[in-house]
Amino acid sequence: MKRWTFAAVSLAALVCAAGIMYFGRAEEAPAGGDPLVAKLDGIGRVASIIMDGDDCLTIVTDRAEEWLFRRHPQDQWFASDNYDVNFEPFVRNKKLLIRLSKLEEFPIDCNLWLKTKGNPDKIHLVIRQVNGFSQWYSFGQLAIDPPAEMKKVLDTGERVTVAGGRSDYVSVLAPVRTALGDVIGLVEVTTRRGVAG
Amino acid sequence: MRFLKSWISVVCLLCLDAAALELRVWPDFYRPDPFGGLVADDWQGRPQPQPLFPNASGGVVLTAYRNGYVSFHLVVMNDQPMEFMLDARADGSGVEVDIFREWFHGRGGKYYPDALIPLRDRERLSLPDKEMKIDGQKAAAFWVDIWVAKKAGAGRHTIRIQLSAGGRNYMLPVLLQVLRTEVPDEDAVTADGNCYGLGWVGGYFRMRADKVRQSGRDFNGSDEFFSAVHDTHRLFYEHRGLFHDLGYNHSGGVTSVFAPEIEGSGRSKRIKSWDYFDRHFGPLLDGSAFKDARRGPRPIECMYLTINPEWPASYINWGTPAFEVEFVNIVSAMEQHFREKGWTQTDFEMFFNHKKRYKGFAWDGDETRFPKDNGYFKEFGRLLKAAVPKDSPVRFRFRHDASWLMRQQMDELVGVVNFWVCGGGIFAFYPEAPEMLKKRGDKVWIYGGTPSIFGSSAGILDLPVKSWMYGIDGYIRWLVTGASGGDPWFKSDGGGTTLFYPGHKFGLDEPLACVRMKLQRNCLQDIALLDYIGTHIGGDKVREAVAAFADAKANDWWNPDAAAKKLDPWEWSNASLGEAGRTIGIRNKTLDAFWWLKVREFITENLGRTGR
Repeated sequence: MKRWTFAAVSLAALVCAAGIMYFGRAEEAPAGGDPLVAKLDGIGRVASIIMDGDDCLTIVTDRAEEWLFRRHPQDQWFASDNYDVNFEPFVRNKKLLIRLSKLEEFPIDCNLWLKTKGNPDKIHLVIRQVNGFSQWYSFGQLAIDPPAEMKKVLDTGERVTVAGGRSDYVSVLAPVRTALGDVIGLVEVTTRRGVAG
Repeated sequence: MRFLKSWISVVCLLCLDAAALELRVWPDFYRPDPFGGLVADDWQGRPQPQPLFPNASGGVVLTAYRNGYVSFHLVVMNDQPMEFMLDARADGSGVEVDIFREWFHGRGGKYYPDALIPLRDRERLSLPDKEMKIDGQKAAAFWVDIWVAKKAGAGRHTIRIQLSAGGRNYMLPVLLQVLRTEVPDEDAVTADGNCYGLGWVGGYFRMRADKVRQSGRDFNGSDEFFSAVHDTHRLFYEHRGLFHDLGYNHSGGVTSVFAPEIEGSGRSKRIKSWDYFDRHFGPLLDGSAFKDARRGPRPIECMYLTINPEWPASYINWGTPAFEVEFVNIVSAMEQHFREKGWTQTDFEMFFNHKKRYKGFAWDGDETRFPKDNGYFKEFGRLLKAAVPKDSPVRFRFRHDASWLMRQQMDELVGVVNFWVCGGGIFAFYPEAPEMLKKRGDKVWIYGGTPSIFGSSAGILDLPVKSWMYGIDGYIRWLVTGASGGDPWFKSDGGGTTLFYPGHKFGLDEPLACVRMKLQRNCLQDIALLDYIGTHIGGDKVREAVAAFADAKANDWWNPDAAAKKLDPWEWSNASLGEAGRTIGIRNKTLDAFWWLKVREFITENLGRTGR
């Protein structure tokens, strides 16, 4: 069996298992009584289990990680021009995140945020999805200081819900861990009330 | 004799109010200011320009070609406030006159005309202009377009421009010498204006959008919405241009009105409805959107499809047979639909706009920097060939907008990409590229910006002349829809992403042209005529002549020895490419209005020799 086929089959099995866990779980009380949040939280819980943090750390190339914080006095695009990813882990994880978003019937984006290797106090969006949903990504943005909600996830390893602000976005932030248990990023499970039905 | 009497009348009438009303007529590239002078940027370092009126010969005499426009600025000056009306009539058939009020956009106490507001019949005008509110304004400027149709007879025509003020009429006759020459229908280079999505439509057509919303309907996707889009295309078309609107975003999301509606997945993925696509693009693809155009109707030259890594095949299937099945099913159905509709005169572009820095996909579809990304182009090229029959009359093109890696990709992607849109500065490094690409049937454009209002009027010449000098097919201006927001009237940002304006400020439910758009059109006419002359005396000879008027050579438009070429392209930075911009346009600064008016004299002289 080709290597990529084996990987795909393994991933599919893992997702099936996660789906069984997701749908077979005992009915939990919706977080704060909001059924939409409960659905997103369920996806976030699965995401934390099946996302491989060590694999995620191989998405952004070492060169790009190094150049992320280089500044050029005459070139504001210096870092972004040199942004690069490794194909296989990017594709693998993006497809996995898309599958997670399909655990519900309405549009959801599962975006991947990772701490930057060059500066672990910063975080950047590494994978975003087709609907363009995100409460924190601004077009063209590279690394940012993690907002308070993300910082809580990174520091405590707990899932955090962010909803009810100025927009109709509803998000659950779920930690992504390495095999050693280090939280190296998070999945932003996001939808908009206007499309969630 | 009658013409002379008219001139005598003008002089006498003006003498009666010698200290008051004055008229000036300036060539199109010399923009007036609101104080009776000219925009200094347009003639810096050159001799003081001379007006077309008044002058030693006593009248306005213009040379015009059939199937084309000739234009000028009419300036009405008075130290005293006045109200007046303007009217223009042409004698004979086939000659039409349009007059536009020029809007002065201010910056730092200086004013530059750009937006053009069409005069209504018997519209009351004022000096100072009550809407512009410029302190000390003494001059009102009007753009005059004279359209000479193919059917117009060669010889003399008279345009009468009448100014009515204070109960009197003042006549300014314009003698038009119409030559037998016709400006070719086809342009030598395509002038394209780029934009994205549909957010600009509501901003440009506020009256139309508000009316629809007040009726309880959604504007996007309504008949009124599509008519607004078609009106915009028509504006560009009438100015010898093309309007290009991309219908998907960097994460692959497709805007519904740009694509056929699809449903299903895998083998069952199919097109559910063509409704939006046909209403949006049908009139553009069969030319009916331009049926009343002076240029005559024809289909648009090219358009973006919404093919991207997430459409029509779902990204989740990438790398599996399902991706190919979905892609081929839908794209082959599109080919069939286009063929059945007879849409065979337009290039349908598979174009990838995304960059990996925007985090949607792993490769750069646009402005690729790293060679490893080329594999994705090859795969999509293979899929396109699998979907479109080899003998299809429908024209699909694989377009790539290239910058850093363009030269390497021109070699590696031969037979894959066949429509290159290249960053103009880097393209100048590769004088061998045009012949190489066109020999294998590829289409070649360059891309660049839209010049600021607050610079030289000749800034508009850069891309068309450069494209023509390179011997390529056209160029893109990124962007043209910048006036959909903000305040382009009193707080203009210079219009560097704007080439037309919304009309609702003036109660007009139509898009408004501008001085830059009309200068570009006039330049494209000139270039079409230069190309025609080149078919008689040699294209290289014509280019050298045009360059010589700027004390340059045709090769000066190239920059093959740029220092950046010593490094690999993925090591370049915008700073290291700073030299890339320093081709002739910056090196010697002689590409100005004075130069182009000399080129026009060359055109007239040589058309006489060709006997056209």
